[in-house]
Amino acid sequence: MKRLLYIILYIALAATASAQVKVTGRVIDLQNKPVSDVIVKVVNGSKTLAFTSTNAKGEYALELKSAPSGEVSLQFNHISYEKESERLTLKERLTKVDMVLTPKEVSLKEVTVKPDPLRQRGDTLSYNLASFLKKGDVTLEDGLKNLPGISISDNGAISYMGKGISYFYIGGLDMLGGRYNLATKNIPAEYATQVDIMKHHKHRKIDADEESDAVAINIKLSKKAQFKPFGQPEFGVGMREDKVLYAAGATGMMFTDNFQLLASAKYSNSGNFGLYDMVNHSGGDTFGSLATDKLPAWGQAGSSVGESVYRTNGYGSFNAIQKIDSVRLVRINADYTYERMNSSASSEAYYFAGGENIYISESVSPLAKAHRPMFSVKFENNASNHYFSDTFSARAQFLTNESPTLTLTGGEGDGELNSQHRDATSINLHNNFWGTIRMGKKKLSFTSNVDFIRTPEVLMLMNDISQSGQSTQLNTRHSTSLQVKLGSKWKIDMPIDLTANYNFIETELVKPGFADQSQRMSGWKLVPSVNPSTSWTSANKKLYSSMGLNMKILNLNYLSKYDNKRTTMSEVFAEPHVSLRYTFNATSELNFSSGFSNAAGDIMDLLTTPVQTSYRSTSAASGVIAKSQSWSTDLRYTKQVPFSYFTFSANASYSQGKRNVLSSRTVSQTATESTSIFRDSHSRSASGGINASKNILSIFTKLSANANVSWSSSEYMMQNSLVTSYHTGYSVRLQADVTPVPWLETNIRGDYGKNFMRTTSSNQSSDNLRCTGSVAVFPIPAIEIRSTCNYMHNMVEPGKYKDASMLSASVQYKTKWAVWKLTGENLLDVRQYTLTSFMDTDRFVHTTNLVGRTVMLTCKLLLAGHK
Amino acid sequence: MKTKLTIILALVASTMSAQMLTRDNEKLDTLCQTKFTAVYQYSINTTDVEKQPVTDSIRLALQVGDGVWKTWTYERYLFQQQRDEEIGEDHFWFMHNEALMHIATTTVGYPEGKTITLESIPPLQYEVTEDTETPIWNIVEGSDSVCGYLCQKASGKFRGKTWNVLYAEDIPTAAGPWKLQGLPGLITYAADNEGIHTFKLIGIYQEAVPITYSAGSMVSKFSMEELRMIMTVIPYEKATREEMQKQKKNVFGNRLYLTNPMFYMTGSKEILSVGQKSGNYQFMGGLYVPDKAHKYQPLELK
Repeated sequence: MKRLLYIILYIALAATASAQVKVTGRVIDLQNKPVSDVIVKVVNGSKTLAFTSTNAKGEYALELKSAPSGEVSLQFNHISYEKESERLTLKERLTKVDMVLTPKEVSLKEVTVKPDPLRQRGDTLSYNLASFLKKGDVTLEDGLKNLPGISISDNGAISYMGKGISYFYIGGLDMLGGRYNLATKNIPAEYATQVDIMKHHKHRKIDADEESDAVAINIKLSKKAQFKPFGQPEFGVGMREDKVLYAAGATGMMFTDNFQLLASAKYSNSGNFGLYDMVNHSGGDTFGSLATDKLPAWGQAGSSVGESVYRTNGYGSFNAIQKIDSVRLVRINADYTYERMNSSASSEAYYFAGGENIYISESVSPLAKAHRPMFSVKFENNASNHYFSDTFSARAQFLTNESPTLTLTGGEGDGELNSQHRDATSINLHNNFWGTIRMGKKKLSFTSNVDFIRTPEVLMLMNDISQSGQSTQLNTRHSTSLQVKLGSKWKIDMPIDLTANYNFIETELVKPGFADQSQRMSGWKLVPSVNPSTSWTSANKKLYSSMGLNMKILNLNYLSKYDNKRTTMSEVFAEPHVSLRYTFNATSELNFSSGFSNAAGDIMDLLTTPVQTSYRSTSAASGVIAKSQSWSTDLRYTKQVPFSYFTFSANASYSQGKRNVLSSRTVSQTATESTSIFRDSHSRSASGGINASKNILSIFTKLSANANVSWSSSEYMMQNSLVTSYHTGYSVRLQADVTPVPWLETNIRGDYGKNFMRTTSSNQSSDNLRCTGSVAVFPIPAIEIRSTCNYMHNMVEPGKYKDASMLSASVQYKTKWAVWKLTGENLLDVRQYTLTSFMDTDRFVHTTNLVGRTVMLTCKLLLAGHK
Repeated sequence: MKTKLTIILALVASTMSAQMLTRDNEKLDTLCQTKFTAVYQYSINTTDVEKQPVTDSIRLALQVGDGVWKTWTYERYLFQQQRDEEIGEDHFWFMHNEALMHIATTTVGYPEGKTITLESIPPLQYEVTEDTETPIWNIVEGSDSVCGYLCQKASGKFRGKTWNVLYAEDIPTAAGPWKLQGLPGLITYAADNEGIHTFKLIGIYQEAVPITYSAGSMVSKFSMEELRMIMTVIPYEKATREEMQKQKKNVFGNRLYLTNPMFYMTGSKEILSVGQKSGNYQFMGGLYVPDKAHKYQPLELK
């Protein structure tokens, strides 16, 4: 039976083999060279029976399962040769056919690719915003976040491809300047039909022939938003510590082709309602002066967990822009913001005072109020052959600050209540003129920045002590830059800068039992600087190096009015710097940088008359212009392991420096005096760290670990003795991100840190542990639930620890008509947070009082949804 | 010239994948001269994060030379050919789709009998060398017209998928888009049986230009020393096809990739030499990573 089966199989195979036909051969050209990639086909009528192509030797081999009946055509096709064919009858099992091809010109019927539908014109990308909107998007900001390349930070700053935008236009007009949050946070997303992103943007038409890397955004509004005013109300209510929280706001707008207006007002005692609306992304929200810097305000109690500041804020803003004609316009912006903050905390300070420690316990309840009016007007003439603009702004700050302090010294008694009150008023006038005219192929430009800051009075009342001050500043600054590229490897930069300032400051201290201590100083500062640098890149781009030398001439001339003492200085500073980078391969790289830097003080260093900065603290400058030199170097190596999703890096850095003055402090039970003395001081620091992370894809988990160590030494004068302190710190962080199911995200993180502080006569250490867990759940697309839990285990004093746990949660529900959000902060109602810190040899135990359990329900009506 | 300069500046300033900057900065080997270049519209029917159907589309250039052909993105081809005016300024869409669709550069016949594919799993690029494998084709009844060329129908199996194609005998070459090749005429249309992947010829240029190959990619990185973007050459990582298939499945096929295409990245951005994260445009090792992904649809199942 088995034998019979073999026989049948043999006969079948033999029959098949006999039916197969093979055609082989070689194809050459007229020069007898093999031709590759010739398509060789066996065609019967219009039917292709078999096909192949020749190899590099011009050889081919074709197999047919069965011999075709009658004549077939063997065709030889190549795009660069004349088509050839040969008729043959395939009777033999193996047929050999060679062919010689004649070259010809390639002749293809070309088909031109039609361009994609245009999404752009020149440098402008236009997005139809509606196609990017998601279900829950409410404001223009929500919509912009969905556009490719756009990112928006927590404070509302817009950037495109990582570059902050320079201009924010609505309908082609820049009404809001840097305060475009007013538009992005208040204009409904559905009112914006198109968003234009203008790359290489030149706001000035006269710059049309210049390169620019600026980015601007232009919003085009739908017809329902044009030619008529519209608004958007918001409100919220809540409870915190038996106190009702409220929030309300309204925004009205009108946009026509030549005129735009946006007015908005918001007020709340909940803490964060409309908090970022008035952020100016061009800078200049607040400003400081010499007097306010010398006599600073007392800060609020801060906390690294939870919220410690009770905040009430409000604002009113009016903005309008009018086009006069096609090139001229006038813009007016006027704002008024109000902010009130209060908090409370207690601290225990252990000051190192030679052989003994001085213990001072304080309980503070700082309160700060700020009123900030601002007005600016801008005229612009923006033509293609000339440009003139002048922006004048006037700002003022009315600041009130209180910080009543209950002080307990030496751990005895009921303590003493010290009152502290500070009022500071400052004004700032700023004018910016920019003019450019074109003369043939040349352009003549002139820019002028003049900043005038006047603080007529800072008045600090601390118990029966009165400290006051005033200052005037007139600052100007001009800079330019020249860059030369030499071939593909070398580049030279030559930035030039000129700063010219006039300063005046006066302080007066009235203290019972002491003679009045006043000082009055004025003078000027002139600093021209040039920073030539060169860079070189190897031909294979693996090695990059750069070096440079920053040179500046510091010219100071200050006069002390009361003792008629003049201080002058004219000194050249040089700062060499070098950096290297070598890329070994795709997964490892080494970086090195090193530099020397100089710094010098100014008029503030000459204020040798003590000023009282708190009820128990005084400070005085050395009377010597402080000069410091430092050298720092940094080395970093990174390594990745492909396919294992493991990354490792290590870094180390070192720096050392020298100053010509030495900080000095004298602490007693009743006072702290700070000053600087004319004596060299030295400092050194070193740090290192390793980071490693691993992603385990199969269990949807990412693990990471960081460890860092730092060491530093510094010198200062404490209780009239020179002290050298050494600080060593270690920290470790472990983190895991797990997403077990698509609708659940979890994160767990643990941080542990330990610090040691050593001097010749003291040894201190502290450690703290912090664990954070967060979870986010998305049961349906319209609902988002989030919760975060923190656990802290901090050392208060050696052997004594305090624990704390915090919990917060939020639920958001979006409908077509409104966005409802219920937030619960500090749900466990934890009211205190304690942390130990060091400053030089002193140890502080801070206990911050936290804002209690807060529940808030907010609603934003989506009027744009009513069509 | 001004347009070219503008584009170069835009690319450098915008931290785009510097694979595009191949004109002056990258050392290129010329494999051979082309006989012609075919342009395809390549589409993938897939789903987005919310499981809604979506079609991604990009143009591919197939450069055909003697025994060697290379499929890569049409925009990269245009950039190399200095046909900047045809690219326009719309780099972002092209790069977005390139990353979203996991477009690789495939060179068939270099070296002889081999196929080299350049794949990207940010932050690295991988070079995969394999034996050239021809699909098992069956010529079937029927014809159609594509771009004015009369085309014959065929079907074939290739690495777990069945492909229905059209090929033009009037363009006698065995070449085709991606790794689809071996028919007695240029493949002008190809679609898989599931209707997920489609290649359609949309243009042909008869030209003699170099088919190039680079042994490494230029990557733009942010230099902390110079405070600007700089260019660095990094060689490709070597990987086998099996390794690449497995890793693409692990990363792109992972459900976390849909909502967070960087989920698999380890370490901080700085450690990974990330150009920068800027909203929906993120660059890892100079490679673009989309903010949100679409469901991964592999071209090869085996």
